[in-house]
Amino acid sequence: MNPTTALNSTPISSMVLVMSASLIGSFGAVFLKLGAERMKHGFRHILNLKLVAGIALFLGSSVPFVMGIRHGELSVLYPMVSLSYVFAMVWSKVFFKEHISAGKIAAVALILAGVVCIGVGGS
Amino acid sequence: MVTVHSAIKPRGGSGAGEGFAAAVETESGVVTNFHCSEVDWYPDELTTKAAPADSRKPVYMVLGCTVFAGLAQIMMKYGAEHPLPPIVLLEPASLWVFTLALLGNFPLIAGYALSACNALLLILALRDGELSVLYPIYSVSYVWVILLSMYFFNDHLNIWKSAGVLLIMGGVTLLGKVSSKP
Repeated sequence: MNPTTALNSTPISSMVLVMSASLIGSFGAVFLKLGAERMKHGFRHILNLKLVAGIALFLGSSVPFVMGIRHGELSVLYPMVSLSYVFAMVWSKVFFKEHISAGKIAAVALILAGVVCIGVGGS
Repeated sequence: MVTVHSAIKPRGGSGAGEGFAAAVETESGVVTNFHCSEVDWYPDELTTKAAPADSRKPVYMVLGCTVFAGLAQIMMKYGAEHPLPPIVLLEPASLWVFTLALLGNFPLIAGYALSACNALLLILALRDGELSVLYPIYSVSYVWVILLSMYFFNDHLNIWKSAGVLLIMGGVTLLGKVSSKP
């Protein structure tokens, strides 16, 4: 299927659903990281609200994902899933003051290109 | 005369202080660096060089995670092939039927168990590593799903999928290199 047809046969609602799933998922990762850092004080800290929130966000992100992926082309929707890697990189800069080097950006660009290819190959 | 430079720094606090490292300067001006093999004490430069080996560990942990994530997806697909009975409101018996069918759906249960292992390993990795490095590495789970689907569901590998696999591996290799820099 050519790109224009794929784009046209994918409803906007599906795109919005999948993109919000990746946004929710990226926040899930942020909360998991916040919760995981509390475990530096010992393994028993594994039960904390931030980890629960992180897991809940991860599970919650699968709902709009499944709803969104039901209609439309995977070649269009898969790349939107992998936007969560871009979101997560922004949050790691904002919330955890991590250094975002050129290498990291190049790596995520390669991964995005890879996920696009897999989406095209899967539809 | 032999001068011993005391460029020694304690590492860890276990107090097994038999080992040591030092730079020895002999009369002729030759400097020899040596350190004891069972060391708990390292000179400054050795401690900083030891860091990269540690920073790789979370990367390998996330790679392990992706195996669990890939297997979990395969199991859940198997589980989805046995449709669950519907829950009918105002009919409590249907809830029991649903629960029994859910518990009897071994692949689905296995899928959730694998996801739990995956989450635990991811949390442990995130404790020590950078989110910006570890989270994109999670994309290797796509690779596992493709490879496992070829084995379990006889899915075929086409040129796009192979290109995708190679690109993801390239990106993740790059992230691994980035993470090993102090």
